[in-house]
Amino acid sequence: MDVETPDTANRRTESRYRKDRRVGEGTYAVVYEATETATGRRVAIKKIKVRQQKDGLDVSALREIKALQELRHPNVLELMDVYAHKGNLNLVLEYLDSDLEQIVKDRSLVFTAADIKSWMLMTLRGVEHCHRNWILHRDLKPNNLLLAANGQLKLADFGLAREHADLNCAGRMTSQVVTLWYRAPELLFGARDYGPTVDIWSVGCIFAELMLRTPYLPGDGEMQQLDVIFRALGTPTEEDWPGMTKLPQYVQYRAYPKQPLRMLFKAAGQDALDLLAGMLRFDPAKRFTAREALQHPYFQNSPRPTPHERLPRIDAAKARDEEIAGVKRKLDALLGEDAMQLGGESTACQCLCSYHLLTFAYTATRLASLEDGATTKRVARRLSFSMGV
Amino acid sequence: MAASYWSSSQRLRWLMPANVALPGHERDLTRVSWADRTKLTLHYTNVIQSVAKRMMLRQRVVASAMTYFQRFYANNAYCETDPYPIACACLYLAAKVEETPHHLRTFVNEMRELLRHPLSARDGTDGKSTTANAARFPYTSADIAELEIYLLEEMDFYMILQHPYDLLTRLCAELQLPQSVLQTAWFVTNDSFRTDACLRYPPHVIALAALYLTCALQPPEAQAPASSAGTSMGTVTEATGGNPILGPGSALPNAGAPVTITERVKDWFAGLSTPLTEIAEVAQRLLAFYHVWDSFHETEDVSAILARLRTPEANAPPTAGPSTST
Ligand SMILES: Nc1ncnc2c1ncn2[C@@H]1O[C@H](COP(=O)(O)OP(=O)(O)O)[C@@H](O)[C@H]1O
Ligand SMILES: Nc1ncnc2c1ncn2[C@@H]1O[C@H](COP(=O)(O)OP(=O)(O)O)[C@@H](O)[C@H]1O
Ligand SMILES: [Mg+2]
Ligand SMILES: [Mg+2]
Repeated sequence: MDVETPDTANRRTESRYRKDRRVGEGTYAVVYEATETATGRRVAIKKIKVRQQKDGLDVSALREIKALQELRHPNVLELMDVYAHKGNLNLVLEYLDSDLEQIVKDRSLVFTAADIKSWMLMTLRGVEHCHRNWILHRDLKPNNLLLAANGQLKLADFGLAREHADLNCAGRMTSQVVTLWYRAPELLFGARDYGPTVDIWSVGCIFAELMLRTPYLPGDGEMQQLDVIFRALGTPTEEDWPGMTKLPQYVQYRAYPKQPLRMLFKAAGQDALDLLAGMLRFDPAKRFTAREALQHPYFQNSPRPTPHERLPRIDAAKARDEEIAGVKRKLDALLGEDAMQLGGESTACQCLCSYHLLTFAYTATRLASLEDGATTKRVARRLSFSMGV
Repeated sequence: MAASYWSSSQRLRWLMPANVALPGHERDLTRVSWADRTKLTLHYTNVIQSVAKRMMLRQRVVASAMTYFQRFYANNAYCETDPYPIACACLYLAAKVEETPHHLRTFVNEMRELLRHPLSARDGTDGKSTTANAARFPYTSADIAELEIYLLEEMDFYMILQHPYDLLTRLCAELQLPQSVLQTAWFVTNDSFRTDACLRYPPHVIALAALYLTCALQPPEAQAPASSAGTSMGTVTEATGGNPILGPGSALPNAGAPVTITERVKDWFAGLSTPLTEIAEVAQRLLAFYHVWDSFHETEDVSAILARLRTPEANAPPTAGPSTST
């Protein structure tokens, strides 16, 4: 091959970062916490897994890179750098501590209407920016709304994102997008020429979830999801949603009556319910756009949205302590006298792996040496050493 | 669409000044003339077009692939690389970015099939040397996968492109121009990606220039399409099978539009906020390019030019550039 890959340049980029620990694993990538050596800035490195040597880059990885390269906004995850290393692609992202799902699930956190308004505002601003740039996110859910240390919310995980500006390809997008509970009804009916309002439906579900502190429309499967939706919001008629019955996978559902949202959202303000209803309209053409949602009186009315620095947040140190304590307990049980037999080792290693995933400073090298031929005892010793007990 | 162009990477990161020489081109131009380098570009973009046609990819994909190719060769030289695998990587990547992905091996097979014969054997004569006889595409999927990453790095990982087509379609509708005008302007736009105009001018300027050229050279109300205006514009060699613009053989549908169209379009161009000088510059570049295309004989020219390009002692003086050739 006449062409030489600029390997030295890559190595230079690579040495700019030091991978510290593994924080997450996704469908097509592993995410590490890392440090930018020159500045000491904490970053996340998303390393794209190689599928097959013979095929090129994963489409999801390309989608993520191409979307994030265009988008620069306080409420969209910043892509700082991309580099190739040994044929793998690494995305350098700003590091974010937690996500909205953790917040919703943390029962020790109390949050107010003003907090919810603040998260909604940041989410919609991020979504509006995507849509202004003709990019659909297509996977909005609390788990993909990451939170910075200062409370700023950022849209992340653009692995399903795509442009929708091109009129020529209307009617050719896949309806198999968005995590089920946040998936808009037109997608569930197999629509292939949908638009930005699929994201707004997801935001509506997130809004409801923030108020309820539990997922609003948790269906068990694609068929059942629509049933759950219609049970909650009433089954739409062709009049509510012209064109519904012509959608590719339309089937008739039981006619549930319409119920006022107030029945479930007892404490919510009327303006909040009004906004929610606008985002959960069945007819995609009548559903709010991001801009319409942002202009809704809800955001002008009191209470004012909480400044992001003062939003409730996960106590990272506390969460870490709890997780470590949990693993310790598991290991103690495992490494007790009865477990000192041969069979114990693989389980201990399994446990170690999950332990490695935790927010805990444990280097990859150490894990590798442990996995090699360590006895249960060595595992235990190393563990107590590294945990400082 | 146009609104987001101003904050796009296409404008902020990859729009080059009209008159600054590109480093990759410069290195080639020490060995071959501008016209010869243009012929090579024509050949490589023909390869992209042909493979795309065989795979029935949309014109948008072709436009993106050609733009990627132009981006890559802004900083790399034909004389230092083999452009065939790069062209393949460009098309493979563009198809994915434009959301119509195909297996990499399909692209590789199509490239191999297209480039199966050595250049000089095309017209029946045997290749002169062993190198000329070798298959021109000995690459595997793994090679192209590696090049894909290299290509992305060369583009700083910026992939999203806006193209002139949407605007062109809207303009023609707005000005109520006959279908034949849109069609010709569309072909001119396709051809613009074979020049570096896509690196140096925004898509709306290219759309306007294509429309301008079309209306200036082929008044929509002309009753005999492609007669006198056509002859100076050059024909496509049989290799592309297409018709760039107003070739003598082109049978454009007779519009039979009212005589006022030219006036209307002229007025409309006069009222544009886009500077006419920019539009004229692009039109000028396109005319220079068509002039080269006119005298292009793909089968003979390419191997001759490549021989000169790849031999170190070759010292063809760089002759006429795009601005002086017309
Ligand atoms: N940016 C980086 N900074 C510091 N060390 C790195 C970086 N990237 C990789 N490494 C180290 O290099 C080794 C192999 O890198 P990795 O990314 O896992 O590549 P691969 O899996 O292709 O071998 C690991 O030990 C990892 O810790
Ligand atoms: N910028 C980041 N900072 C910190 N953690 C991150 C970051 N990006 C991703 N993660 C972690 O990695 C996980 C998977 O990443 P994500 O981008 O959501 O990929 P997937 O498409 O597989 O869900 C996230 O749930 C999160 O825990
Ligand atoms: Mg995710
Ligand atoms: Mg994802």
